[in-house]
Amino acid sequence: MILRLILLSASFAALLPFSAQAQLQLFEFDGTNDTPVGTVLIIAAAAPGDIVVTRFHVRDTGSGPAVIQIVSVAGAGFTIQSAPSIPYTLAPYTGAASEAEIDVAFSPASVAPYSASLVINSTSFILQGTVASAAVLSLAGSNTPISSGATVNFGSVAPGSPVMQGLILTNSSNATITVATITVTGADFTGPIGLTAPVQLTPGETAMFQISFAPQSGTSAQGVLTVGQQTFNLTGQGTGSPAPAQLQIFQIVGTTDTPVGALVNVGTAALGDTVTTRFHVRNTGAGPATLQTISLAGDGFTILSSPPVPYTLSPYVGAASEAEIDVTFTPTIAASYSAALLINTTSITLLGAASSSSAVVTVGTSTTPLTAGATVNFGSVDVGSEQVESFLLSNPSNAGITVASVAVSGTGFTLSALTLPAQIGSGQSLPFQVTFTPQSGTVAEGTLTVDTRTFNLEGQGLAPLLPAASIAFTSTVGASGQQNSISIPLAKVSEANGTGTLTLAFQSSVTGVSDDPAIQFLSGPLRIATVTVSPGDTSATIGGQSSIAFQTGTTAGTIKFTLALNNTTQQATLTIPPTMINLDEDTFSAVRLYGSLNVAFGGFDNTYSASQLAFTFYDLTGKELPQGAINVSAASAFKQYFNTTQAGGLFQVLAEFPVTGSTTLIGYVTAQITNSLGASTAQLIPFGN
Amino acid sequence: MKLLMITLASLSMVLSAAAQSGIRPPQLGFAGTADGTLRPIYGVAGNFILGRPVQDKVISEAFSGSVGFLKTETTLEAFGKQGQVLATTDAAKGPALFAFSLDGLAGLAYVPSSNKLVEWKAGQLVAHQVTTSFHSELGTVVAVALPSAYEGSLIVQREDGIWEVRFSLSPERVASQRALVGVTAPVVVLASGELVYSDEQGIVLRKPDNSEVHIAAHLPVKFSLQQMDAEWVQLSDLAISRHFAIRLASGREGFYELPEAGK
Repeated sequence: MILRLILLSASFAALLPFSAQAQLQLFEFDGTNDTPVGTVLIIAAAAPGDIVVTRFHVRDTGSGPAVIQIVSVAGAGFTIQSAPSIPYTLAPYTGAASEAEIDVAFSPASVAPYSASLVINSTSFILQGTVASAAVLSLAGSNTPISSGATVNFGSVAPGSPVMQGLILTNSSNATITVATITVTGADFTGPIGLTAPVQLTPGETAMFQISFAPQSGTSAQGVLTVGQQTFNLTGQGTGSPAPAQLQIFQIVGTTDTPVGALVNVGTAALGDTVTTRFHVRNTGAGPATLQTISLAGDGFTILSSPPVPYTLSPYVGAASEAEIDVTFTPTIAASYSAALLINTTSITLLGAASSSSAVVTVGTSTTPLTAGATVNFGSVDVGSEQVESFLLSNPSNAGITVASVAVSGTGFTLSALTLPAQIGSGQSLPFQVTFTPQSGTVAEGTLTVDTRTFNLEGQGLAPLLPAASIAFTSTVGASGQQNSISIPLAKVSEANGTGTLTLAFQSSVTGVSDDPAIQFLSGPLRIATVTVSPGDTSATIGGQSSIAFQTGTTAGTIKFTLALNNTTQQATLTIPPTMINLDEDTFSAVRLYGSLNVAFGGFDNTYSASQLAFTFYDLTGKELPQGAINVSAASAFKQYFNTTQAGGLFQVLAEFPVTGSTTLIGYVTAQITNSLGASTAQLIPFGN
Repeated sequence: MKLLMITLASLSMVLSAAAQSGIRPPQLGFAGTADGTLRPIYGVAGNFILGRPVQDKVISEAFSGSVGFLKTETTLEAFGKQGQVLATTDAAKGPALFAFSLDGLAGLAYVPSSNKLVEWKAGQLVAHQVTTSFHSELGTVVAVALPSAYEGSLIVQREDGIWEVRFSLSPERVASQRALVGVTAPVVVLASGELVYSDEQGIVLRKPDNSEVHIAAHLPVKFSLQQMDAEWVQLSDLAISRHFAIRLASGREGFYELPEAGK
């Protein structure tokens, strides 16, 4: 209710010439100030059904008392709400306490011109009322407008058995009106349900919404419904004890549960898109309740998930005691959709609509619209290659549509040229392509966004395979005391990166000998090297080099090389056969000393079986001395030496021969050493001093 | 006949633990390694084993087969066959160049940063300061040699090539000079007068009679040469930690890679 106060004043005698001695003047009072009133007063606008009260003050501006004899109003929509008892004597004005107050109510029934005549004694004032264009609220099933300020009574309701009250907004004016806000307050009142402001109503159009009253106890409840500028009181009475088991259905909107009525509008979805609406079912009673029936009938709607029935619900104490039912809406043609969701005996009508303003997105040769959030998989694509997918934006509606934006994100995904915004006529389509060019051998993800809808893009990048690699020796002849090297040629020019290792292992064929530390790579770690391959390589790099050198040691056995490169393994072996003792001239020396001859010779015995030594001495002419060869059994000495040395089969014998007489005539010595495979000889080592 | 008077006693000593007899791994000399240590090298050509370090923080080193030199940041040392230090003297910072006598028992060291020559003779290190006038005739010294007990040689790089400048050790004066045509630095001069240097195909061993032996090798871009035994020269890659050994024994020349130390 809108209240406007008007003071009736007598200060302007020319306007209100009541009498010479007693002048009455009419003022309009706005709650604070008095404003003199002329012959015509336009009062505040009221919507049909609303009441606007205008307050007047009457003053005696003369020097003697004045009597108000007549106070009347004549005219449809206007009534005197309050006035002093007639006759009423006014003392000369000295202040507010000496005024008389008259309240006139204006309550238009419809949108039409209103006027009335307000008569005070012999003076008449014309009151003109204006009607605001406002929606008229009425109860569902009743055509009687509800006046602003009126009360909607939900009656007596048992806790746990909410009552829904339907309300209808009607535009009874000749112009389109907009209801900017519709709100419901009050602890047990919920709404508006089924209608969201702002609501635009063309002349004669109606809109329906509901308000739920769900008392929490057996007490009265009050609330307020505000429709634009109009407010309505809500009241209801909770009665008795809660029902033993009551099911209440809520729609989950964001994080809030909102009670639903008989009608739920799930909204609008583009063709092919899916809108999911989630419901919570609560048992608001005191005892357990059982969900016996959950069903859905209607094209375009599907129950996505629901509890298995029968399903027992405990009395509601929180989210954990709710049951959730998810319903999807997926329109396939441009139309309005409805379905009936039945939960036990409660039927809820679900409404949905297909958006006709969105283009249908299809991919490849498929005619099935892509659902927003769907994934388009480009498959597995080699790095350096590309996969192109064709998309089509179609307009199946009867009117032209505009596609404002098409965008692609994600590494490796690119969009073909498109001129946007693009107009697509009815029945027309607009093709475009998305290209997937993987940058690495990993899964790539991206998005395609068409206006407000987003689709996922996915592709598997395939790193090019390494060409076959092999182990190549500079020399394939295995022998002790050698330096050899390995390279790793590739079967073809590599297009890929690769990393791996080349490892060396040695298996001795000498009984009792497990290893020979001298068998090793000559650079980097002793028995492992890093192997890398880069695009463009025709051979792998080993430890940063094109090849890696190794030495074969001085022990018979097998050297095994293992190449592990990009999950493939290659092996190559180099067999080191047992041989006779290999003597090295660098180790030879023969020295004459006073009273002795010192002879040294050495090399390696890769069988560790050296046993017999034989020394033969010669004179300066090379003639063998008559003593002949001096034989020495050295098997145990060599065995002891090989058991303790870390030098593999390497050895150098230092022999001292005590001599009686001059040594100057001794010219040469020949040393022979025997192992399991035969005898080796150091021939004619010359003596020096 | 006199030879008949000779009696060869038993060979029982051959297996004894005496210093002069027994069985042991053959030693090839000493070499500097990438970790800055001086180590004995055991083995035969193609199979090398690094021994335990006998000195660390070594900048330059050389070994004749009997005696060796090593240079640390602040000292010059002579060492023996077992790696034992024989003598030490203070020396200026930086590397040094070394040469040995034909018998391997005497040696000559040159420290470029101080322009000082140090002789190893008779068990002592004897220093000689190279005079300014003497030095002005040199050029950049790239190697030294000890052709006799009284003469030394400086192998110098001049604009017109490599020259050998022979000088008397006492007093120091230039005795002769000759161009070493075709020789390039780095170069090592052995006591025998042989020059070891490189060409595009590998290592060149130039004998005193100017005959040459070429040893095929793929050489690093930048390297140094040091004598590591009587008939072995070490080649060190100055860019990365790789070392090589050049065998110079006549008829058995070869180029090998030494194992990397510290791995």
